[in-house]
Amino acid sequence: MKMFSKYKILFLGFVCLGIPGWVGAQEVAKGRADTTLQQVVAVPQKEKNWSEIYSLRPMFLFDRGLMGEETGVYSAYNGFVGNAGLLMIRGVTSIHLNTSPCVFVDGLPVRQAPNISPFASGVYQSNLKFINPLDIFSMRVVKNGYENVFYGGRAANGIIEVEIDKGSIGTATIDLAMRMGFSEADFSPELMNAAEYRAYLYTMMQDRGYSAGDLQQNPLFDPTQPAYRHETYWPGELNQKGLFSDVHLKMKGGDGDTHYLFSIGYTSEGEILKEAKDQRINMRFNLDFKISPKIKIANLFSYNYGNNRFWGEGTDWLHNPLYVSATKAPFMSKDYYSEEGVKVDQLAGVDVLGKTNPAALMENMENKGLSNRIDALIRATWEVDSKTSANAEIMVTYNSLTEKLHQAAEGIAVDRYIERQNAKRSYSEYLMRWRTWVDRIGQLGDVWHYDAHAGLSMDMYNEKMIYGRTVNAASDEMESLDKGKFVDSLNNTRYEHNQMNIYLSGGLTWRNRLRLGASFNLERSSNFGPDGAWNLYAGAEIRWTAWQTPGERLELFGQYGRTGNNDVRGGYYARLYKATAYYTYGGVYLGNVRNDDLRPEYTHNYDAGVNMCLFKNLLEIGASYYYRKTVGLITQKSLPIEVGLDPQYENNGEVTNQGIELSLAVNPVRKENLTWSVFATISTLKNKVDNLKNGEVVETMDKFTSVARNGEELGSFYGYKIKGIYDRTEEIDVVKSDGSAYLPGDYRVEDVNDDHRINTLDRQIIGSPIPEFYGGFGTNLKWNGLSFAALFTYSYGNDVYNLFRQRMSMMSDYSNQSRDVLNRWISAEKPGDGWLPRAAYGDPSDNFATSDRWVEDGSYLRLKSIAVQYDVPLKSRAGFVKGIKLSVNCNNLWTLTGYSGFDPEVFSGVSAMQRGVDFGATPSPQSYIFGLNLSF
Amino acid sequence: MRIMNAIKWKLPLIAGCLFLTACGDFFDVDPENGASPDDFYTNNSELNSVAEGMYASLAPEVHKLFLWGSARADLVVEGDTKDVYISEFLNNTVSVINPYTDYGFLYKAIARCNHQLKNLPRMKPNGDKVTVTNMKPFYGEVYFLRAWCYFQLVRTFGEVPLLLEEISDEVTYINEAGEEVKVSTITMSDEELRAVVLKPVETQKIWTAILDDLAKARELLTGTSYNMGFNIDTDWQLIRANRLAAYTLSAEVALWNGLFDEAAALGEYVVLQGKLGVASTWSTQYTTTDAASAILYNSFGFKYVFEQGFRMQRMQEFTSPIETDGGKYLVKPKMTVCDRLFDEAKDVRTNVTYKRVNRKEVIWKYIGLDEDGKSMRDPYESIANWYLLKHADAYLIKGIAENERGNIGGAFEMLNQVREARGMQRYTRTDISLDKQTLRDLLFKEKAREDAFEGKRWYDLLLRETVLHESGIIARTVSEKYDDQNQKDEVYNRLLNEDSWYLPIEPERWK
Repeated sequence: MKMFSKYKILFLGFVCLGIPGWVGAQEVAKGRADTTLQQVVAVPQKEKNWSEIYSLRPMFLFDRGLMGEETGVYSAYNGFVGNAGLLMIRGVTSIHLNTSPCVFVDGLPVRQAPNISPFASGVYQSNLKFINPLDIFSMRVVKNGYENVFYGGRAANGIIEVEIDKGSIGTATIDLAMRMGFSEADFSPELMNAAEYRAYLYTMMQDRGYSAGDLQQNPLFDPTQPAYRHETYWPGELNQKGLFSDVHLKMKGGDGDTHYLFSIGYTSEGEILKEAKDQRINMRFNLDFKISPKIKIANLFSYNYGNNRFWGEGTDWLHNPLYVSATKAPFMSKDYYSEEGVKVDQLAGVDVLGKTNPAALMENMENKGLSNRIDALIRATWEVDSKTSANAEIMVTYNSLTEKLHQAAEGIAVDRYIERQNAKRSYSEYLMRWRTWVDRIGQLGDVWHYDAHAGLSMDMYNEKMIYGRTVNAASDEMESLDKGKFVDSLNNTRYEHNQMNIYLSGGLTWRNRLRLGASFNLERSSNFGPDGAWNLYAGAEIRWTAWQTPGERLELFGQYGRTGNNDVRGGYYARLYKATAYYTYGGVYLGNVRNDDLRPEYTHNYDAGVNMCLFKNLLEIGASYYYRKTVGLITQKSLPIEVGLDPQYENNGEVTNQGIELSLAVNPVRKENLTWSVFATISTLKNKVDNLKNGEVVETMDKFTSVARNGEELGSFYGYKIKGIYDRTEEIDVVKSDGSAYLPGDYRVEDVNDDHRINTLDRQIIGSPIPEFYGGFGTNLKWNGLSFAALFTYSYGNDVYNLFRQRMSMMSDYSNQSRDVLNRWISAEKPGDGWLPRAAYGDPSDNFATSDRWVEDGSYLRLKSIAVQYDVPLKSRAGFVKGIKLSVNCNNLWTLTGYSGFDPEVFSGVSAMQRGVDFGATPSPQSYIFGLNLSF
Repeated sequence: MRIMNAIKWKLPLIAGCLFLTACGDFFDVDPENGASPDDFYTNNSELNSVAEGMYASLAPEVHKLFLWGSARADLVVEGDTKDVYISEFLNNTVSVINPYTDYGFLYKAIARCNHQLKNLPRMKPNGDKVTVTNMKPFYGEVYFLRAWCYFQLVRTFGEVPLLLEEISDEVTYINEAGEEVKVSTITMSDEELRAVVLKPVETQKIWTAILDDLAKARELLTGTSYNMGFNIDTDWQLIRANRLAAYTLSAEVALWNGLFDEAAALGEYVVLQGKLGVASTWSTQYTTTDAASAILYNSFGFKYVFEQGFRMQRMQEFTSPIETDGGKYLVKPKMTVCDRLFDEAKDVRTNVTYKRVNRKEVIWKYIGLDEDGKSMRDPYESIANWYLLKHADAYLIKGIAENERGNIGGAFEMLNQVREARGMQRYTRTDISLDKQTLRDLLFKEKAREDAFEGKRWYDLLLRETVLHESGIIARTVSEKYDDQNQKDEVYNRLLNEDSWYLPIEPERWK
């Protein structure tokens, strides 16, 4: 009933405000361009023509093309097909809340990164797969706080506005785009060979207390044994050429009253890691028509289907294919050998060292995803008179994602008690959004013009997730959830968020020279209690065009705007019982106490800059400075333990982001049949956490630790500084955290507080994933039908935590390791190259805790893309073929970096505290894509 | 026209106002990651789930009770693997940074007890299930559990904060001007909270609170415990507060307060129930996890579920030498001391309590599934029960109390009843000298055998040292377990000092 009443309210509101007579507008209206976006304040900077860029440079997912082209946008993606990446607009603003930008697709909000944690480690299915880049008509990255006031509590991380192509007046056109291509990359770690590994294993087993006699008897050390006489480079089994194919058909047309568009696209992307693949089908339909000369109705409908196979390429090392392969004994074979030494047509099982057969993992483990998404929108626009228009729209989106995992027992090592597992997760989200608004423009006297916008929107969002894992089914063939012997975990979450916004904005323009603007957005969110639910976001701007002639212009601007982050998903404001268990009985306890004051995190944004266009459009320069201060970070406060309550959330802490953004374009040749331009962008970023009164926030993921600490960058790497290796006992003047003694061969860790004890108090900031500056440069050349474009991207000053290298150097079990361990410390006489400490089973001295040894400079310069397109001249335009274009696009052809891993561009998670970590995931591959576009 | 214009403008405004007022419940979204406490205390099962929540923080921490009460005493020494912090207990050198001294789990239980106590009056009698009589055990259980928690705290740490009222959304305290002040908890700093409500109090105040709580618990925990229309599992007679447990605990607390007459009388209540059990089935409470065997011999204890997170019970990690079973073999029995204690062949407890298996000395109670050392627990079977209050304790407490008040005959009888029930011969009056000291030694020896490795030995020694004024008994007894003479002397001297009997506290470190 409650749900029903909500629908009733929305429907009532829609009807009331959608009916022209109810809208308060009296004067003569002006016809407006059909835009689904907010009423756009004149944006002087030249907009990028994204539909042209995407046509020339096919992008698998549209967000992958932003860095370098746009100032202030930083991105990092790995070679994981269909995965979201890191997309950061003007810094990072939150420790615990969502830090990914919000994308508005025809007014429909979508988070760039998923809301749920990974199903398989490192897997963040992109939320943007439902947009085929070829369907994009225009796109705008909204970075400044003033404009983002409109987006209120969703805008703290920046907004991307995307407008999807629509029907237009004219004869029907059909565009068919076909692309095929492949991608490849080398991700082969350098490992010990069979002989080296055998010698290493011998010492490790000795260290475990096996006697020389025991070891001599052990067949592992007999290189003539049929099962142990191989020389296998296991990671070599994983690599493949990733195949890419894409077919996209778009039909559009219309007359004076009715416009339509229908498009359908199929995309298939194969990863360079075997078996991993992402396939998508996107369909869109749009019909715009007029029901009277002044009233226009727009309809949009889209359906998207996706399915994929993927690998957990994160820290679940037991199932990470590259790690499993790299650590497997090289003297073994994937095939099974009988006791007589005969090769049997069967994969080898788990070996005597307890290691998975990587070939069996590839064959017997399966991760699958399936997604369905439907979006629909109806909008009515009433052009009241030449100055006033009124709009109402309602949109609905439903998105479901099902992920499945089946892990057989054959050949895969048992994980504690898990021999086999079947897991399934179903996630769905539903959004109904209703919005109505009025726009009005007019004149005040002779020299002043005004524009005004008022609106109201209501959002109803609902998200559900159910996860189940059953383990140890009777047989490998039993793949469904109900076949497991016992339920390992069962998890059901639900999140509901209702939001209302009342907008009011307007501006005054004097002689097209000076503009003053103000914007207000009053937001109510159900994520907060009574005192924190209503929030006002407001901003103001001033723009002054100092000088303007045809082809030349100089504009100065200053802006302020407050935005926020209302994505608080825990009911933290409320007094809540949490579930617990006592023996087999369910119990509850008071987990949250009331915090009526809890509010969204607010970001104050200040922007100032200049836009110039000089020498008859020869030179275009944009320069701006931004300062963003986020206050009231939602952090946890631990109460004294005698109070007996769990840590509670409150607003406490600040983070600032500031930087300079410069964009430059030179257009030296602008002839009818020859144009040439060169462009470059550079953005700086300084991030600082401050006023965390509840102390530093430390997060650990596997062997990686990060921190949010006053005066430091958010998500800085946090660990020990290694000052060498102890050669002799006499040199050791510190003890371990538990008071026991270090041994020669252990790392000499810097004892920061000089208490002669190495413990967590000695951790320091050892790096930061945040770049000092980044951007791109490139060129575009057009000569008759031939187009050429090149784009370089770069990042400077960001560190990468090379967790994969650390894991491959740990020497704490019987895993094969990187060749670096051949030069490890063995004794004072054989100290190696000083890089790695002694090998010790179980790492009893914790030599491999987070440390600066694994922090590397992640700066890079990359030739991101080179594209050539040829528009075949057709002699007769009378035929049904109206255009043919041929294109080639090559991505990631060349990278300059000092980073030792596969790729300096690493994506490790969307959380602010998990950035810049290299798990050894597949790198961004080199790809070659060939295209044919036909227009009819 | 003007009128029309006015209406045109006002209508949407009115519609807007109506809209805003109508959508009051639109924003009233229930957070889905928890339940509103306002919805609780309307029926018996909600009430019960809050009650279950009170115990939840305790069961996973039984290993701490072992370290506090057994590792420090004379029967346990270092195993083959050394863990610095566990060794600190075994060697009586517990430092302030030792994570096993964290008493947060007890205060969590206390906070939840206080919460239940404050909210129970919201539960109104409701039909024949929820009656005033049926509600009593729920009150009684709060008092019992809170008393049990403070009993652990005061004996282990000495002076600690005493919280008898709930601190949740707000803190209520009396300021310097004598006015009652209410402040939102989350806005207060640690220092402020420590200054107004978390000051450690004298141990006598804590003991008084415990005695008060237990008096109420005995009154309220009636024979019809938790009878509110539930199907009460047999387990509940062990894992939930009950009348027998309240009397047993009361007897022990009385003993600790030197109230020997009272201790004897309270023990008498349990003795009259005649639940001492028999020798033939005594071992089943350890070799099975069967609830019926457990309640035959115990009135209160914790059980363990392996499948909750598939984590092994830590007692198995501590005591098992089998690595593949998750054992780290951090502790083992001190064989010479144990052999001196378990020195009677007919004692049925010896085989179950400790033994040598595959050349390793082990505490068999937590890892064994039989009496002859053949069958050990797999990781998934690491669900040995942890007993807190035993029926036999009540007999022995009564015996000790009778002995202290001069009723030698009564004490002698209690001792003999326990001996007989564990397979040994009753002493005749000529077997032993019937003086107070001998009887006291024998009663405590019996208690040590009954409760070996169950987190009680240290406290029994502390009781003798402090309440029964046996000066130096801790130092003498505990130093016995060290082979190295220097260590023996060093520990002996240290344990003569009263400060070393209590664990150091630094709660800020445990946050």
